Amino acid sequence: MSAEKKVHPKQADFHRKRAIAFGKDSDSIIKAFFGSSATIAIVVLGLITLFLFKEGAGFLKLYHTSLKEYRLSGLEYVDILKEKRDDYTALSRYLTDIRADWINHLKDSGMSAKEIAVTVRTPEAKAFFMGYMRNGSEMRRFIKEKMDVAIEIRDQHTTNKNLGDTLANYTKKIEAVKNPNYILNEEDRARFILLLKESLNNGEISIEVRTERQFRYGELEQETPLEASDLLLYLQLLEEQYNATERKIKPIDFDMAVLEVTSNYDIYAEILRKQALSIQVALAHAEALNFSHPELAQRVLRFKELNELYFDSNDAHLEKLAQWDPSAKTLFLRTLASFLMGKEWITASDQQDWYGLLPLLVGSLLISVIALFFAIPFGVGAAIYVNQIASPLERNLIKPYIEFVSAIPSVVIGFFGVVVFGEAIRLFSQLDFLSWMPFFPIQERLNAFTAGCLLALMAIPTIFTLAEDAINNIPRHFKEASYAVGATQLQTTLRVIVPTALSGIISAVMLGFGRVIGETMVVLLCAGNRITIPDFSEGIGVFFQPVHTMTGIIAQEMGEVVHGSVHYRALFMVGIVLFFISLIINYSAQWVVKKYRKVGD
Amino acid sequence: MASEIPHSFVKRSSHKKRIEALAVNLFRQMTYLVILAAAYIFVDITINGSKAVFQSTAPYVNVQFLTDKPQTLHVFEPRETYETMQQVRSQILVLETKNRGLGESDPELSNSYAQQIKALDAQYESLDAQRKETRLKYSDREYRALEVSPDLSNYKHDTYAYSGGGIGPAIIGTCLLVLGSIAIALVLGLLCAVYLSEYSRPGKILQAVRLSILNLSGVPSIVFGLFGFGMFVLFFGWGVSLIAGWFTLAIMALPVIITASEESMRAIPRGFREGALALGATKWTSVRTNVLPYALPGILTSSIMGIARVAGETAPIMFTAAYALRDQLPWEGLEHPSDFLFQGVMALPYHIYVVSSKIPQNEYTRDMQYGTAFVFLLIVGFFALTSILLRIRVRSKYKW
Repeated sequence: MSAEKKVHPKQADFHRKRAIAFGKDSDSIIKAFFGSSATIAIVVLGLITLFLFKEGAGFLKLYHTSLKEYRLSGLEYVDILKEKRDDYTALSRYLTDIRADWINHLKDSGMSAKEIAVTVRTPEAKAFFMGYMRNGSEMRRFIKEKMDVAIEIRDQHTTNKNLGDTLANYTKKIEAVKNPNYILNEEDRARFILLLKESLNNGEISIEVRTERQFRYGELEQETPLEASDLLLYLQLLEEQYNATERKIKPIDFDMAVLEVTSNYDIYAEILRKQALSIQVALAHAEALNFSHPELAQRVLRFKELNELYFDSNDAHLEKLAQWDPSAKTLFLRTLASFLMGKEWITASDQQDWYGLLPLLVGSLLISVIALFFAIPFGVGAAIYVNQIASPLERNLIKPYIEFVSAIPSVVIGFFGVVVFGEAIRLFSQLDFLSWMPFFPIQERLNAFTAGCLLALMAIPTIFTLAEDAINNIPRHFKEASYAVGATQLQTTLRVIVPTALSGIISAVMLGFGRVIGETMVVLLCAGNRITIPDFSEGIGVFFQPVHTMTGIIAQEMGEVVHGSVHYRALFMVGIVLFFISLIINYSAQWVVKKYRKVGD
Repeated sequence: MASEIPHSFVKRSSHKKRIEALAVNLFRQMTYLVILAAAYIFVDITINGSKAVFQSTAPYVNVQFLTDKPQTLHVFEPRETYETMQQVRSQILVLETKNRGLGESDPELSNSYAQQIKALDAQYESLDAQRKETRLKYSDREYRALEVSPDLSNYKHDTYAYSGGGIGPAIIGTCLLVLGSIAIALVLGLLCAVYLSEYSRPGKILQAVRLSILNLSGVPSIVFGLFGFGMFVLFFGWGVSLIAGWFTLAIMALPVIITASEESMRAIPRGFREGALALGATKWTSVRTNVLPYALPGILTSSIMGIARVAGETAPIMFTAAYALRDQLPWEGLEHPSDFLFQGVMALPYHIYVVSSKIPQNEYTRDMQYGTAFVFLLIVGFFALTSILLRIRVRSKYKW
């Protein structure tokens, strides 16, 4: 083009513009500039994915190693042992409850404290209650010993790994210093002085060497420059350190070490057998007791049945222990499963850390269910009211108001929950006329319900705005046609408007769900932060238990973890899960709108 | 009956109409319940928060609270009064248990108990007033400056973190974070919006861009926090710093700003652009002179909503920019001007989180907690309200 232009000195009125770079004219360049900056959203989304995976990716490998060590060191074996112990502890607790109830019943029947004391302390009663409780000690001691052994094996292994890293560092340094051209820098100087000082306390070096070093140390302290001869001494010191570290490594042979955990199988079987016998003796004493209350007698019978079950499970338990194989392969897929479906999230424990997503996921979903339970009717209802029923004045006031509500910072709502709302709910649950509800009064002021209600308030503006938009987009003639055939306002609204706008409303609800599940501060402050799967056997009471959430755990633990540790990467994995949940929600919300659009453009 | 109806179009009550009226009322009540619930939060925080922010003497605003640094509060309560109060309290408790144990069996005795309790309550109240009058409160700085600290045999000494002083650094930090992030977000958002509304052609790329913007707006704020931590704090090595917070928040605000800017540019009639093009202007000239100036008010007002959103977020700055406590203001103790960007700051939302979760709620901490929440709500509310009001104005002013 440019060649052409030189031929025609006077340009035509409609000439193409002059190219200024890369054969493009200024307008194309501007367009390309804007076009490239428009991709920023794609780039950012890509970067988020990239960095979440970059930090989270190592998790599976680290966790896999950790689970392998868990098996190799015999901690898994100990955990099987602990199942039995926990069963026994649960039974003892059951018995304690029976005793407490018994005392309460006696109190209710009008006995004085002295009489009660006499009744519960008869030799027979003592033989039953105390006799039962005494049976666990030997088993507990045995398990404790095994646990200590297993933990020691695992810890020694971890120490070895760390020392190995240190050794590698020393080797690298020594290699570098061995190079004759190496020049000692400031960092080396500091290290040199430190090593010198440390070596003075070393008992193995001869007196001459020590005096020499002491002298040199004194000199260096006085800011004397380093000399060439120091290089040799430095190297020597480094090698000494290397050897000292190497000596600290006590190699662990897992196959041998784990035998110490799994040995004494016969003794354990014997302990269990003896325990069963002496429990039966204790249980026999119950016959002589008169509980004077049918319910209690029933529970004692039930207790005996439970004990039978406990004895019966002994064989299976021992079989499981015998079957346990430390060299069995830990599948990689199992590691993934134990993250996605693990029931425990236990960190910084002295035994084994578990990173199971399930308690957090269930907590997040539970809170979302509560929030949506309130937010859907209120959000959609308000949208219908404002768009279809309200007067223009009301509409012009309510719409900006709700938009304003959406701007309330979540941390302020969370603060309100901590200071006012949580306490209000607890006081409410203590009201006498509500005592028929089985789970009232509630124990904790901060629980899933508190967080759910407050989150509902945050989701309502989102649902309201989008649902109102959807209703607003319905052409006028739908409404007019409905009126023309004689439908009332309510009929028109519920049977014509809402069904037509349904896809929009559903997508509004989904985006509201997205907002709720991604909300951090309210759940962090108000959900109670207890990392367990809530107890669903309590019926509706499950909504009043403290839970922890995916967002909450990241916010709470991210600040305290060591960078690069399993725990750190686990938090990023939770972030990845959250990210993809939000993408799926967003995508399906759009899909719903596209698929079920009834009103064509 | 028929004779009572004057004409056939008169409103007649029927079962169906009553149900309809009921349903309409139900919708109305739901709407107003939402409004009231939100209003309750506003009112509660305003009333309790204004105790810390306003005062009854000139200049009526508690300047110290708004400008001072957070400090530990030292409280000295007179030991004697405190112990007497404890005794009175336990006496009341004893009487109450006795009264409850009595049940309905002896109304006379129960009556006398009630009177005793009442008298003790009054005594407790007066002791409480006395305690409030004689107690000494010092912020950490004042406490250190004391020549003779109060005699501990007469006074009970308690300390409450963050409760003395004020929230000045947090306010400044929030303002810095918001200003920087919104500047970045506006530049990036505007560029993107110009392309979307002026240059884009329907196609795969446009679809991808729109899809990403939509998805970006739904990403949880904590994920932005993780991303900012991974990219800006660790990978770029900026550390916990102002600039890392800026970029994290800017990326969060981006979808809001892009959508709003595009909307206001699309609202400019085609004729404006075509007129310019017809006169021989290039595309860019037409956009620059005939679209952007008219769209700018709309873009700015909507961007203020973005500001409100950015200012209100806590999760993204938790690990990228915010410190729980920092003694220096951002411009103090800088060795190098560029250090300004690479320092962590205090921020109001994070401060609220810290004071509401890490320290107990009682009479000494309560005012500060509420006051912080109130100031924060005021700032965010101001931006949100401005945005909403301005938008209504702009919409009615520019109608093509």
